[in-house]
Amino acid sequence: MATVSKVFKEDSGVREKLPTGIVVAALFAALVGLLTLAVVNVYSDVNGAFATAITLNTGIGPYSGKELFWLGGWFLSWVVLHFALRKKQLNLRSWFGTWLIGMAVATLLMYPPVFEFIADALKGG
Amino acid sequence: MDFPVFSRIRKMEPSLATLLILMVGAIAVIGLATAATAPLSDLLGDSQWSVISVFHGLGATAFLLGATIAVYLAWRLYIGEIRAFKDLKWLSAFSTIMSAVTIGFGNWIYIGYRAAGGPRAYFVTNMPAIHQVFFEFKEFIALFTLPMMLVGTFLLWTYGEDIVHDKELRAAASLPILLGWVYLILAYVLGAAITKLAGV
Repeated sequence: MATVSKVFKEDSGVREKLPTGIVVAALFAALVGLLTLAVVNVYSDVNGAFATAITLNTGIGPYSGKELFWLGGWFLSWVVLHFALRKKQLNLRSWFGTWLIGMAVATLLMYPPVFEFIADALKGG
Repeated sequence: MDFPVFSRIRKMEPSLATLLILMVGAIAVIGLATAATAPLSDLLGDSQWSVISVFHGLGATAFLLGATIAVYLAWRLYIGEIRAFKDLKWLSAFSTIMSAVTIGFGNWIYIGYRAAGGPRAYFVTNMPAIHQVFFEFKEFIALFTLPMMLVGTFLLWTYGEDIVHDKELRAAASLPILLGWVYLILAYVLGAAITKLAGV
């Protein structure tokens, strides 16, 4: 069966129209948002007053403020990164590898035994 | 003997018509089985959160169906053998929307989960690990699905079909969709297990 890789030649011409900075900006904005969520989550475990302060809805508690920080960090950083990188040709392979490592860290930081361990260490427990 | 229709089905990637038939068929079979075996009131439950929880569950299931086909097509894109590129664009967009909808209903149902006498109180008293590890992980990891699906969708729609020529761009667009699907599976399985132990 014919495949696209046989039908179409590998060609990076698309990067001339749309630089890879756009890709890096989109990927890293998502990562910034998720790391912001992780940091806010740990800090709300450490500081009860902060957890209360970010409770925007009593029904869902501090989770409401955590989501606001997540979305705010994500979309604000996307705007900033997009305008900073949109005309740059970046090494996609190395930036993508860095992003994957960042995603692994963000995922680990959301695992309760990990973030509770960090929060306890910061509290001195 | 080679029948043209079977030959075409065997060789094709999912077309939108095939996907639509598959999804409608799956929902119809599940709906028929449940309607035949349980009265609607028993199926939904009688709590004030019953309808919201149904929307949350159905949203997650539609997301799972769309994202599973999208992740297959994303794999085809990654290895440079995709034909149904438009299907991938639309399915990734659908998955992004369903992620946002499911998270929205998840927030709503979370009020019931945290309410006095709700599942959280039950778990904290009887099975603290269920709340402290599994539910807390689920509530955060479910949020990871939205940025992954949106990034994949954004790149597919921004770069368009030209992306099939560039190996690194193919990886950058397809792997977030795969990651989003992994996060979805984690959240879906944990959500189903938690609901089975104590629903709202």
